[in-house]
Amino acid sequence: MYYLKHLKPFLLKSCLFGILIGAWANAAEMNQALGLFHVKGQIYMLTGADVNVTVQIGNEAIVFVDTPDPSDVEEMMSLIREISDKPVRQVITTALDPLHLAGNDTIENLGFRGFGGRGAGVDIAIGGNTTGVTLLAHENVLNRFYLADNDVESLTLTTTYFTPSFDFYMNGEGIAVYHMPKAHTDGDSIVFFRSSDVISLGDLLIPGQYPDIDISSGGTVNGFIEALNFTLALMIPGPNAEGGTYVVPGHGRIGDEIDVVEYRNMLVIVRDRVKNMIDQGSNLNQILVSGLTVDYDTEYGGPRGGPTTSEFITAIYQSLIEGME
Amino acid sequence: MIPRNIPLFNLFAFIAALLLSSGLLAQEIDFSGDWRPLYHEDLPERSPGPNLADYTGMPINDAARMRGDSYNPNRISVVSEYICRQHGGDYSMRGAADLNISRIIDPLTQQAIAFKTRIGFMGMERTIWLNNPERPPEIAPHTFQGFSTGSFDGNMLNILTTDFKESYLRRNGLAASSERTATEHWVMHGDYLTVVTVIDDPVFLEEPMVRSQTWVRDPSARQSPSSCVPLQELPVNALGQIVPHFLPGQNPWIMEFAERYRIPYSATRGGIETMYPEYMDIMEKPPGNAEFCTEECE
Repeated sequence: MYYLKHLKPFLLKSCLFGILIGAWANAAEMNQALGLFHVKGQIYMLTGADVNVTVQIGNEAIVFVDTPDPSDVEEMMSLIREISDKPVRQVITTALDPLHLAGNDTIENLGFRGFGGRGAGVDIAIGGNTTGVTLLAHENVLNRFYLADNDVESLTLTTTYFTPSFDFYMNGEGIAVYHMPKAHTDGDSIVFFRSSDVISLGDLLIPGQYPDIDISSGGTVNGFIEALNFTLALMIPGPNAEGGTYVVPGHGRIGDEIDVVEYRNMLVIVRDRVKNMIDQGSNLNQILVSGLTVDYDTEYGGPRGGPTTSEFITAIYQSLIEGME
Repeated sequence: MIPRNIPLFNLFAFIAALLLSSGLLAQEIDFSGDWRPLYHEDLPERSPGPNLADYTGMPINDAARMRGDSYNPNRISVVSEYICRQHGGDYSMRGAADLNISRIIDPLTQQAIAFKTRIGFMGMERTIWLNNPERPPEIAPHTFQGFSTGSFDGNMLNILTTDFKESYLRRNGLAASSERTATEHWVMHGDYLTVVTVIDDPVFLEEPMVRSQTWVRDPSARQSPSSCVPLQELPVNALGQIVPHFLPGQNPWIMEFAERYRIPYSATRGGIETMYPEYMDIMEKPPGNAEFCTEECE
């Protein structure tokens, strides 16, 4: 009994210790999972984070498209510093999505703090940056953050654009930012690094998941298709339909033209099927139980994350119905 | 003890060194050379191409079947990105084109580290690594030919290929997913090369699909350079669809194959239940109306 009496707390402590060690090891392992994958030219992709972060590394500065969770920023910068000691100069946010902009503030704080500064308690510093880091998004990202319900707690931007496109030159290459007005949301941007021949697509492409058409944030199925068609028009494949222009998706693996084509094709075909049933007088419930996407569910639906089949079809239905009204 | 064993040890060492230096211990077969495909297997599918909605003998699932039923062959003319598309690495061996195989030798060890293949359709080039390299990370782009590693089992080369792009199991719209893997077995008998391909696709197959192809060595075979340019063959929207497809239940060609060859429609739909001899016991009778049968009726 003596042994048992003392053994029990010992075992309990051992278990707790083991759990702590395990958690520490898991955390270390997760951190170790971060990596920089060279895509092409001056473009790298941060891997292992909650979101794919596109990183342009050149002889002038570091440019980001989207940012990871703040807890990943330090390790990401360590990886980048193995390649470059240049300052961070530009962050482009592809959409009002907490996963894609969580690290904006942390990255802005990496910049120069010699003068000026944002007002206390102000989340958004519009009208030019004071740290040498410009944080850019389409104006609708800002509008939705202020004017609509969303799950973004804070947003750090220094400037927005409202024109169809915005471009600048950094690290010896032209960088074109295109607004995709009604795709995933109404504030989506895609970023084309012209010399490197890489396009950062945000959540307009997520391999193995149905597209997230966020109707409440201004997304539409036809706008999504138009955005993918626009992207395809920018892309030039390498010999025999492979390589050439690469795309960095918001999540998942890097793709080329055919990957975008297959994604676009799926979206067009499902859209047409839903529209056909609407035209025949079917309501949403009838469409949902009709098995319209049996041929795509094993590839894009199920336990892969992203919208479920029902959510995907419902978004298309709502988008088409609203378009008819 | 030791002095008496030294000569024996030296003898073994000498023999081992002799074998190693001459490569006699290696089991590697050299498949290098030029090969022409033989079409005694599956000619209609491989050369002119398969009929629409012919899924006979394929272990496909409902997803693949519906994908095939919705396929409109105009798609490869309207979607210009498909014009220069290669076959997938697991399908390329079935094409109607010559094959060149070369062996890559490590100059330091003089051991083969890879075979390179080139097939004379869309310049399909593939490397089969023999030195057990790491597979690409999950986020790396997939390719049509995939990533192949090989190892010898006696005289047979076993190859595992992963990291495919989405492609097709058959050129009638039966899709092959980017999650599939292919295991190949290469065996050479004199001047004949037999390749058995086993495709495992969790997205579109109920069980692995097995196919085989045979090649004959032809030292005179030569290939042309690939020069495909992806020109638009039809105006986009000429057919009212930017991605031609048939809506569910509206494919007008769905019965054509069954009627032409007088095969029960249900047997043409594929699936594992239709693949094995037991299926003969439950298979529907062929259509009685012989007027439908226009080819291979007897």
